[in-house]
Amino acid sequence: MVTPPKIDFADAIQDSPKFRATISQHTIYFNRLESRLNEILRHINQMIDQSKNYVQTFYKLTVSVNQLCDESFSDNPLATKTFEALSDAYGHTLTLLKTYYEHSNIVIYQKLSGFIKNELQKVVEARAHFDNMSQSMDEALIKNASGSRQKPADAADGRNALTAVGACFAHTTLDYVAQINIAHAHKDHMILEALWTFVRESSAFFSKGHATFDEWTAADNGYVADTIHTFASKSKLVERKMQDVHSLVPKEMFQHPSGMPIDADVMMEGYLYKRSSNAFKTWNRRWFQIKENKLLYSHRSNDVEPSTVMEENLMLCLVRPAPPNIDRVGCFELVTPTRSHLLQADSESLCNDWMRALQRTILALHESDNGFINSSRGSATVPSTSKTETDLNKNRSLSDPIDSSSPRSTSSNTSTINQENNGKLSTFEQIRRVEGNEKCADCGSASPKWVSINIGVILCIECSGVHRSLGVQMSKVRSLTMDSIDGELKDVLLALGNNRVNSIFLKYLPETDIIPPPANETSTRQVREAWIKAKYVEKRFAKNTKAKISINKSASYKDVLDAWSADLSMPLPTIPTKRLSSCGSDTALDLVGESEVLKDDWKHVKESCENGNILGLLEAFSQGFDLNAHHEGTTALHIATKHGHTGTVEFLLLNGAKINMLDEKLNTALHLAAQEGHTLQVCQLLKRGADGNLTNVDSKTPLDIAMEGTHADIVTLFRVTIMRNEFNDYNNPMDETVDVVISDIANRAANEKLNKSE
Amino acid sequence: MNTTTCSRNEFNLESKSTIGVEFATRSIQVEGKTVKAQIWDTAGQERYRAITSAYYRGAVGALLVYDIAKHVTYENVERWLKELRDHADQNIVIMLVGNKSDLRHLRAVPTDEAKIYAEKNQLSFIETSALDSTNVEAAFTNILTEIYKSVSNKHVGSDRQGYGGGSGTIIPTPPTEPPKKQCCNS
Repeated sequence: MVTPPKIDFADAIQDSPKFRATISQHTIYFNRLESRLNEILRHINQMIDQSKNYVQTFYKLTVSVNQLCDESFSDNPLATKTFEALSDAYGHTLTLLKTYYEHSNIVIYQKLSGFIKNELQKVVEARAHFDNMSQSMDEALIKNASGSRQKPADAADGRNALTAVGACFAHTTLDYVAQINIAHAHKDHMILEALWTFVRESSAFFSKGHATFDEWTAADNGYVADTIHTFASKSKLVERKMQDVHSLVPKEMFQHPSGMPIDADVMMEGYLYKRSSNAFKTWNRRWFQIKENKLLYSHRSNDVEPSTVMEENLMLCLVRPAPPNIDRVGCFELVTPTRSHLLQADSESLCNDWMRALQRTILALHESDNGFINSSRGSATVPSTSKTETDLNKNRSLSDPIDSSSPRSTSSNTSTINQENNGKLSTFEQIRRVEGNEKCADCGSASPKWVSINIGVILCIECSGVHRSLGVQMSKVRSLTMDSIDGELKDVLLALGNNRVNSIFLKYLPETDIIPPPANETSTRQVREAWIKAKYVEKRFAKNTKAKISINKSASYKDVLDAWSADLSMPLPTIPTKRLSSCGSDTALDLVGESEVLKDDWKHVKESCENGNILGLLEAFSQGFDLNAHHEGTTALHIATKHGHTGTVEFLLLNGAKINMLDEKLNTALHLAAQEGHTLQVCQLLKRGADGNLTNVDSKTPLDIAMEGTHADIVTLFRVTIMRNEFNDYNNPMDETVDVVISDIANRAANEKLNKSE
Repeated sequence: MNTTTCSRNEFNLESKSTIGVEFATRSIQVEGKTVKAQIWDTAGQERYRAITSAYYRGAVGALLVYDIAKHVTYENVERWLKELRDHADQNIVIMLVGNKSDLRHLRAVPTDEAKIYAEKNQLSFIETSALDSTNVEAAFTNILTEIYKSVSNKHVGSDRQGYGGGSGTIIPTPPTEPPKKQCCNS
């Protein structure tokens, strides 16, 4: 479009047709200019919106890139470092772009729209003004022209008005023209300047970008490129290795064990078929491991589940070929004290390998005599792990060639192995660490492996023999390594231990002239016998004979004991043995009145039972307190049960407390456990043979009480027990399931208790 | 095979335990032998706790019972079936039981729908009414017979002829939301 000709001021004042034609050209020119500018503004607006989106998306991109790094490359330091450098570059780019887009577009937009608003708008306004005046002028002319000669006054008015309006119109016209000329003059530099700002911003952006990346490249110094190259060549290496991977497949698949277990504690592992113990006798394929002294198995599944323990202590098991009636290849049998497992390997030679491995493990367990390979291995952890470490590395070089052989992974491996050893101490190890348990309680020999479970002392084999000869009512001897020690018993043994028990039984040990002389490692059997009898049967050093002179029953009881012990051929009726069957029917017998123990003693026993203080009970017991005595309408067992102290209950039962004893409301301990919702105690009492059929004064059985209290687990325990008794004669095929149900419930209760106490 | 009679020969689907597991026993004659079954009714359990997977372990059969008048109990069958497939022996015999068939006017689960579902999942299917004792006897007799046959096949299959899977013994009978059973044909 051609710029319209300049406006002649004389023409303007005359308001000639030429002038009118010229200004109409100018108007068209400005209209066109404005619409063009508006179009440009629209584009700029769009660019602003889109660049906002772009920047936002770019931001999300950098966030995702960083997440990618954290999630998938965090264990690869080299890659992480490279990622950081690149992410840095992304970040810089984003910042630069953001500033550029925000500034450049907005500046040009503001300038152009300012021009439209200020300059073009003024032209439009001046035009409107001009049009108004032009109209007024026309009216003034008409009025003047139609003035009559007869009315000279009117004509004069018309003339005057015309002069005034004419002058005004001339000024307005010139204003308008001035505005047009100003707009023309402004338009050139303002528009150009607006466009130039955009170019300046762009130029600044690119040079800033240039500077930033110069800096980045200098810092990078080819690092990223090198790293990528390194990874690329490593990946080629992996490709090559993976081509060789098939050579790993053994020639005779499923004939021989396929390599050493990676876990140093695992003696052997692999798939075996296991015959299920239910009526279907289905053979299921499971992943088996011989680990420490256990045989474990697990499913092949996507979820990582803890392995099931098939046998807790292989020391007590026997391995042999399957009986001939099993018509499958490669079967063998693992016989345990309670049942036998049938297992099948994929080949005869694998079967032999498994049998040999199991036999070796069992033999090693017997030889180490700890029932716990790990303790001997514990000291040998360093060499054994370092040996497997090399195996590990061999394996790793294939399975994880990308790992830049950083020492981190291997060292962390070792530390987790050690931690596991500490975290999962065997029961034996825990008991052995109780104060004083490193030596025999009676003679001081090192490494005792026997225990009197009711007294809570650890003994050497000789002394345990003497304890055994006292009869089970006096001392119940078990092996720490070959007998299983359940949770309740463990609580008792951890609460007692040699030092604490001796502090009670040897409380008043004279400093000199001890009669009989204390036994030591080299003592003969006779010396040991005399010492142990004096210590536990007569409780000679447990009582302050000088201070406490027998008004109480226990003193006279002691006299009787002394008399008994004088004649060793007679059994020692120290404590009434428990009579499971009699107490149900024979309530009158159990309810005999208060024994005459001093009130203080009872108070002490009561507090011990309430607080779970096993040692306090042992002390009272050593002073001759009758654990079956009734006081205030209840007994020690009832109180301990009510307060949920499993260890205390266990101690009482071990020391002759009658399990079916009744309190004044004819409740058994089982009633109270059911009432309080103590699931663990219900398990414990049932395990020890408590009678669940007794009714209390309200004619309620423990089961009734548990149902009223909606203790679902306890109800289940009672019902399962009833059912098991009912089916007992028929070789109940659900026996194993019942065991698992009971132990599941017990474990859950134990965990809940643990969580609560934490 | 011993011929024991059980003390409680009645099992009533209606007398649901409110809490804990319940037991019942049942004896039937199959091929001249007496089979004694031990039935674990676990219905009370899930209301209080998750059922422990131990319940499934020794089971040789399962009755999955839903209420024909309550559609949601039928919807739950899917979940129970998955539990059984996950935890129970692969040869378990499962029977789907639509109970309360006496409530005809309130029926929410059409017989055909359940039947098709049972066929699709290889379960046997029956509708019972514990109230008027319709089919209760039949339900137990059917599943016990099926289990008995399956177990006897198994014994031959697994111990004498090499491989266990031999005799195609998955003859599912319907599973039960509550009861589970064990059959001792010793």
